[in-house]
This record gives sequence, C-alpha cells and structure tokens, in this order.
Amino acid sequence: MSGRMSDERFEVDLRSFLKAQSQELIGAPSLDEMTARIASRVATPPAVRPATRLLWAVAILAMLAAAAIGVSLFGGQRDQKVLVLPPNSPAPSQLGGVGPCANGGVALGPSDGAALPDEFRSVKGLAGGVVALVRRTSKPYGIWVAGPGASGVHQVATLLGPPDPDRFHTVVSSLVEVRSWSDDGTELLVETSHSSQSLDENCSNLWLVNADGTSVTRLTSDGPGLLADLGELAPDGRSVAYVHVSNAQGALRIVGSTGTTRVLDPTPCNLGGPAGFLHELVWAPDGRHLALSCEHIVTVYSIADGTSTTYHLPADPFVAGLSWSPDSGRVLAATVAQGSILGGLAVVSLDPASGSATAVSRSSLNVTWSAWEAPWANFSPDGQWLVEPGGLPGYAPPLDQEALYLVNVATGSARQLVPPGTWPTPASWTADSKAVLFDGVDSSVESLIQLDITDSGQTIVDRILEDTYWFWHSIGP
Amino acid sequence: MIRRQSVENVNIEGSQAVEGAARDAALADFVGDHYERLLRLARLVCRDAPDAADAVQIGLEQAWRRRSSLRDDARLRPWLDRIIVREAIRLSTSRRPWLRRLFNPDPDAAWIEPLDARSAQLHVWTALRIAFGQLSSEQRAVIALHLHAGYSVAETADLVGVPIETVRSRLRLAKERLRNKLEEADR
Repeated sequence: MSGRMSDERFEVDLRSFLKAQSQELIGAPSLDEMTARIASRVATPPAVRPATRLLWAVAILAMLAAAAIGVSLFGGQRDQKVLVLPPNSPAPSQLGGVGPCANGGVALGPSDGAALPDEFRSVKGLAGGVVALVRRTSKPYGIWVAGPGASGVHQVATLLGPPDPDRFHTVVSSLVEVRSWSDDGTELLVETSHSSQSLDENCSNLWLVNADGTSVTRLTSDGPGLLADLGELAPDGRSVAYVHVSNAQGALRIVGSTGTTRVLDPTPCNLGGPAGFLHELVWAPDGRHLALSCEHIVTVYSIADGTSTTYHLPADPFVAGLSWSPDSGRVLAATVAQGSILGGLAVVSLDPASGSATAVSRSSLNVTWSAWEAPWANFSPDGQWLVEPGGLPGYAPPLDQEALYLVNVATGSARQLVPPGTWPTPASWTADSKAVLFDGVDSSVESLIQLDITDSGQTIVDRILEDTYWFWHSIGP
Repeated sequence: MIRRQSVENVNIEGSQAVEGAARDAALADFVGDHYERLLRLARLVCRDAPDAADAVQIGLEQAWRRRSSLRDDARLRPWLDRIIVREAIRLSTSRRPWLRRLFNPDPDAAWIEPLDARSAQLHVWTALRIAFGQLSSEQRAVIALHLHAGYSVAETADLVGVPIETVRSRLRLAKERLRNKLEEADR
C-alpha cells in the first residue's frame, strides 16, 4: 500500500516504545517492599532472598526431619476427592467447588428465538460452504452458522455462563470451540471450556447443537479438574469420541446416543502426565476406526473389538495433521520436525490392516515451520491436498509475513494461496475439497474468506468488525 | 467417587515435602531475580505502575499458594508470567476508570517521554502511547508477551488462555491500530 510505513521501521518503533513503556515504574514498590506486603498476607513470603535464606534453611531442615519420621508436613493422609460424572449427568449442582467450573462451566442454550431464514431451517442437503463458528459481537455471545457463500450469519445457540459475569468478557475466548459436524449437517459438536492457572480448576464439556438452532443437548457435566478433550462426532452422528482427562490422566471414551460410555483406551498415548500432548482425534469415514495423534505417535483403534495399532514415527517429528482416506483403508499423517527448519513437511501413509507405514512425499516447500505452528496442517477431505499457514524461507517469520500454502500430498509440491499480509488463520476445507475457508484480512477488514483453490476466486463470507472475534470455525458437509 | 490414597502414597508424600521445600526456595530466588521483569511485563498490560504493582503482588501471592500445581520446574518462567499477566488483565479490566475516561479520554497523553535522543519524534511516541493505552488489556497482553517478552504466538496463547487464532486476531488488530496512529503522527 502506497504511503505505508515500512514493516521494519514499524517493528523497530514499536519494540522501542514497548521497552520504554515497560520501564515507567514510578511508584512501584521495591523488591523488599513487595516482599513485606506479601509476607503480611501469606504464611511464607515468596519474594524474599538474602534476608530470609536462613529461614529457608530452617524450613528445609524441618521438612527433612519430618520426612525422616514419616510424617507429612502437609497434613498427613488426605482424601482426594475425584468426581467422575457420566455423560448426561443431570446434576451439575453436585459438583461443588468454586470458580467458573463449579457448576460445570459455561453453559449453552438454544438460540434467542430470533427467526432463522428458510435456507437455514434445512441445513441438510447444502452442498458445502456452510460454516459454524463461535462469534462474539457486542451481544449475544453464541454459536453461529454462516453461509453458504456470502448469504449471511445466523445464531443457533447462546452462551449462558460462566457464573461470574465479570470474568465472562475476559475468558470467553477460551470457552467455546465448534469441534465438528455430523455428516448429514444437522448437528454440531461443541466444546465449552475454562482455562485457569491451575489444572485442578480447568474444565471442559461437550454439547450437541442442532444446526438449525432448535435444540441444545449437554453431553458431559464435568466440573473442576475434568476435561472432555478432542471431542469428535462419529460420521453417523450417533456417538461421540473424546478423551476424558481426570487427575492429569486421559481415557479415550466413546459415548453412544443413549448416554452409554465405553472406554476404548484407558491410557491413550500412554499419558502419564498432563494431557497437553494430545493432538487430534479423527473418525474413519465408515465409522469403524479412530485415529489419535499425540506428538509423534499415531494410534489407530478398531471400534468393533477395541484393538489398536500404534505407530511411533521416527526422527522427532510432530504429527501436524491426520486424515483418513475416503475408503477408510489408510491414514495420512502430515509430520514436521519440531523446531524451525526448512522443508520439514512430510506425509506418511499408515495402513491399519498390515500395520505398515509408507512415506508418501516430502514437500519441496521451503517454509519455515516452528513446532508451535506445525499443528495446523489440514488435509483436504479427498486426501489430495494440505493447506497450512507458513512463512518465507530461511527464518521464523513474523505473523504479518505468513502466507497460506497449498501442498500436493502426492508430490510435495506447493504453491502460495494467499500472500503475506493477509494474516491467514489455519484453514478448513469444504466437503468437495475445492475450497478452503480461513480468517484473514481483506481490504483492511478482518473477514471470513472462502477461497477456491482451483481458480483462486474468493468469497467473503462475512466481514468482522473490530470488536468481533471469530474463534473457531468448522465447515459443514 | 472418593479415592483414598494408599500408605505407599503417604510415604511418597514425605519425600515430596523435602522436594517441595527446595522448589519453594527456587521459586523465591526466581522471583528475586525476575521481580523487575515481572513488573515491566505487568506495566505493559496495566494502565499505570501502581496497577502493575498490584497485579504483581496478587500474582505472586497466587503463585505462592498454588506452587504445588507447577509440574515442571523448567516451566517456572512461563508459569509465573502466565499468572502475572492474567492478573494484570483482570485488574486492568475490572478497574476500567470510566469516569476518568469520560472526563479525560486520553489520560496517557499527559505522560510525555523525557527528552532524549527520541525527542525529535516526541509526537510519534505520544501517539503510540495514546494508542497503546486505548487497546484492550487483552490486546496489550498479547503485544507484551509476543513482541516484548519474546514468547511465540502459541506460547502467548497458552499463557493468556485463548486459542492461537484469537492471539493472532488480537495481535493483528492491535498492530494495525498502533500502526495507523503512528502513520498519522508521522505525516
């Protein structure tokens, strides 16, 4: 754009300003003053150093002595209350505790009653381009369905929580994610969650939302410390697979339409610690298998008998994307090496029947991948393409230098779909594998953009005003 | 369901107490070393130094009380930064002084950068200061963490507890606003 300040100069000015601004600390207490403040409020102050080293030494000696006689200084034997509620539990009030997760966290309700246009009363049958997303305008907060094309955006569910309205504004962005659609386009699986500093306070729950806004069904009622992670609707819409995390241990569950729960794997990925390494859960199109990725591990489960095949992919890669072939016969895994390297994208084909893993291609794309950006490689439904945001070769790009790339899975060849400056988010695919949808900047306005990969023609699904955020989007069938 | 810990677990807890004391000392040392950095981080999110100090104080109290939830010592810095920044966001949001904004819409404009080598660009810095103060606390937080503290986008998302897309969105909008102000002042 003519007359625009160069990126380099803007970055330099901004960083210099931030440094100067951060140093404006007139009136802030010294370390000793802060230590004294905190000491008056907690039993033992955290921010003390030389003056209290002796105190620390005494404390350590006391604890050593306590350990020697087998007595815990922290209260001896304690009961650890672990609440595990089945899906469809009707009594979130029994959860107890305090904070946003005390009553099961954020709740969803039906849409506010506003009439939906006729075209949205029958989502089923649309050829594609229908998008579900979480949108925050001034009010109300909720789940919206957009499309096809530029035909509009309409609310189908409302957020009702969390209990503390003052916190709602600041934490809402972590609260709702549209996970998936049923194959017939009539239902959405939605995850609501709350994140805080402590794992013990976090929670997440799953909901089924009718795509026409007529009903909302709660599937789980998990309170503090319990998560329903990676929820995915089965292709027939009759069951949901997810990883239930409790006490930092994960269990892969399948919930049926009647509320029955089956544990498919009590320790997916052999998780022994926080389940932060879980990455992606994908149903086979025929509904007979599930694939789960965790860092460099992919496990394929048979729904019929619960047997599984685990692939440990070599050379320190991170599985950035999973996709089943249309015939449900194999799994494609897009991997990248962790850290910033050049051309780290590779595709591996996994055959659950034989247990074999075959290299398909290695991309010629000189895109700098970082371990953090890696998870956003998304396969097209037909398995022929990958789309991913990346940067210019040779260095880790700033965000405004990232572009969107299209990679041919068979050959590894790549081309740029949108240039840097568009700020593209990870893209979703339409069911026909002919278009991608992403959040980017068009004419200086943040927009939801649908881009045809064959002729690069684009449709602006919706323009996003400054105070409106799109959090997660998912394209319907 | 009530799960009772076994006798074995209680014995383990005794040894954990020793380990916990050492970690407490490590936390105290870390805070001493990073106190000013934490203040600066909070200052970028809050509107003034006293609010930043309050955020650091409350954050450190929380950190001390919740120190047992830190599962990986190597993550001490992001763990502490996360607590401080979230508290700074909370404070900054809850203390939004609508009266002050009503009667003085650009309160930070009075704070002029001291004369130094940048004095020739004073108007530019003043414009940046005003624009930065007008960002939401959430936007200031992602700017502070990503551009000032050096966290990646994903790390920033984790620290403030929002999806990566939201961090991207906040960064984009914040930078666009700052850039526009900067360019206006530069003309």
